[in-house]
Amino acid sequence: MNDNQPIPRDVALGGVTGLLGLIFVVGALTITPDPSAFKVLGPRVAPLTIGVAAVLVSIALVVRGLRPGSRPEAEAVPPDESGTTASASDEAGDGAEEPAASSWQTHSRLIVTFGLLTVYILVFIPLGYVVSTFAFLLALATYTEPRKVLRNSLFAAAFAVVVYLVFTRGLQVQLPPGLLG
Amino acid sequence: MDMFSGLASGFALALSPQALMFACIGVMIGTIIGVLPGIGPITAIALLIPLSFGMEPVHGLILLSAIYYGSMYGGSITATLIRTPGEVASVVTAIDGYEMARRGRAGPALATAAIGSFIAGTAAVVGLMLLSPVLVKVAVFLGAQEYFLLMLLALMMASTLTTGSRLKAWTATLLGLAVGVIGLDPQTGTPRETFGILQLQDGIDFAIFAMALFAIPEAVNNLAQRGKAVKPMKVQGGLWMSREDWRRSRGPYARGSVLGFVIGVLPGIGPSLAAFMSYVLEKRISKHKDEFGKGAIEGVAGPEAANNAGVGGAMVPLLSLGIPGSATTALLLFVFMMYGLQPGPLLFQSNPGLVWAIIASMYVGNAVLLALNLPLVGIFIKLLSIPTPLLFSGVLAFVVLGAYALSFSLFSMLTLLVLGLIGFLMEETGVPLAPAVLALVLEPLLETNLRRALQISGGDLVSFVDRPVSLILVLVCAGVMVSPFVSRLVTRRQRPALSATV
Repeated sequence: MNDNQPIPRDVALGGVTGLLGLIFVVGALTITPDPSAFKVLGPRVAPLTIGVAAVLVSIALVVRGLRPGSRPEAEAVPPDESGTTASASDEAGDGAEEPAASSWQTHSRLIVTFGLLTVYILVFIPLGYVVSTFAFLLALATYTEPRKVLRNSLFAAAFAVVVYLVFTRGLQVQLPPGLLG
Repeated sequence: MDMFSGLASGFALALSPQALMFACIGVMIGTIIGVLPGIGPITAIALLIPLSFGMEPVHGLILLSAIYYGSMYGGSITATLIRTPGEVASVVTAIDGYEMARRGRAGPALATAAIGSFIAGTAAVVGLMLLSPVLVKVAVFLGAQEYFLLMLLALMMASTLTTGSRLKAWTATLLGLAVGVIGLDPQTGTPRETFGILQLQDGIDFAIFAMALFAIPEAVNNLAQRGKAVKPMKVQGGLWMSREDWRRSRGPYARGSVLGFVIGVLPGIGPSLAAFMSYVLEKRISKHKDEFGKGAIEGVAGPEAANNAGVGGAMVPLLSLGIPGSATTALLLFVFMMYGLQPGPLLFQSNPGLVWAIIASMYVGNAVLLALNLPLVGIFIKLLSIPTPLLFSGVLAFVVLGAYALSFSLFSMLTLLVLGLIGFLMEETGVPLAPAVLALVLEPLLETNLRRALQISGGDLVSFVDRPVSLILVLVCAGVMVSPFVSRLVTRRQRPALSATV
């Protein structure tokens, strides 16, 4: 699985885990325990333990990832199914059968999708639920499937309006009215 | 209240028109969401938590429990017809169920899954009903030490008895624990790991974490069209099983029910492992071993029974001890707490009506599941043809709405985005998501109980080993920790022997 990649995934994962672990350790050390409070297990203990454990796990991940001929841990419980699970959980992630060009396309699609999601979240309150949701759904669905603009806009409009009514009228959950308010 | 009067009052509540309606709606929604490829019970419950905000606790809990087992069944439809399991529990169904469908036997495959789910689900509720009151009585003897160790055991089992890499499961567990620490210390009120961000003092909302981890990576991956659209298999002929199918399904139903329930009760390992174990068991004792992987009905009947019995089993420690054993029950625990209820021995005393109503509703729900789902399977299959862009952009819009509705703030939506990105990277690197969710819920409980234990004993760790139950739990925890190394040692020793014979 890791053969053709410059940095094996496990090593990258280990690196990120280690970094987060270190940040956590630093964060734990800045906690100033209240001297009058309970002393046996102060507020620092849990974050410190977790941070240190994360650093240890990250080292193990990196070591395993760098080992020549390293394979993702194969022994699973029960052993017979390890292959099945791996393929099932990797289905989404591993584009192994795709050539490189379309992998680039996938990457740009991922970035655009996350980008649109970010914009949606930022305009959610100022523009209001109905307008922002309509725009988000239309943009995302049309980006993914450009040929069906009419269908996408009908879906976006129906979703935004129906969900807004169900939540504000039916469930008494107030959503931002924004421009329409 | 004894069991029968409890159950009677529970049924009275569960059969009231409103409760019945919520059970039906829950089963329907659960199945619908479970059918959608890539969306399993955890996502289903997390997505629908906002819906239950304004409801009465009984109705909300009946609804969400029904969504839980409804989505388990829905997942088996997807597994059988397009070989895309919605969650790990139906991964094994995807093996033989799909092969059956390919051979024109989709009808019997779906039927045996539905009937097996019903039988095992009902048997598990009986087990739940019998075992919970016993555990409630036992719980009186459990102190903070035992609670701490039980939860620790749940985490260890979830990280060790995983179906993938153990190291990665530990990574996930640590992430969940870390996120659980963020916020004010529950005992001293000291801000921890907030890095000066005021909004982090309230901690990270569990529902946001679950939605971000389970819904966002799946939706984004599907929108990037990495999952190819698959045409569902045709369901030809009737949905009924032949006499031969019945004969071959009976044994797996019974074994799957027992196995699933027992595994479900154990902390930390949920229905998914039950399904695997059942598959392995059925294959081992089968007279038609060669048919496994080529459409053996036992390979569908057993695992489906096991994973549905596992749901009932997982409810036992949740209701009687307040300890969630799996990611999904962790979500349900969150819902209980959202309503200001603390599951456990006290709930049986203070609010028996609620507990029994939930139990009774599970009988009702299982029956509704069977009555509705087999006739409606055609409609559910149609759902598989919802265009991916619409479905998953809708899912994204819905989780953002859910995050907003939890605290009406931009901050919670941004938290969702960041955690969604983390979840996406976890999926990319093969880190399992479920242990993280379980760990997040258990973190405050672990810490509180450890502190209580140490406070009582004056900081003395000996109290963990001089209480008999606690000592046993310590030994079991140690055993779970060591088991991978032992099994590795054993296989290493066997390997030379094997190569010598070859």
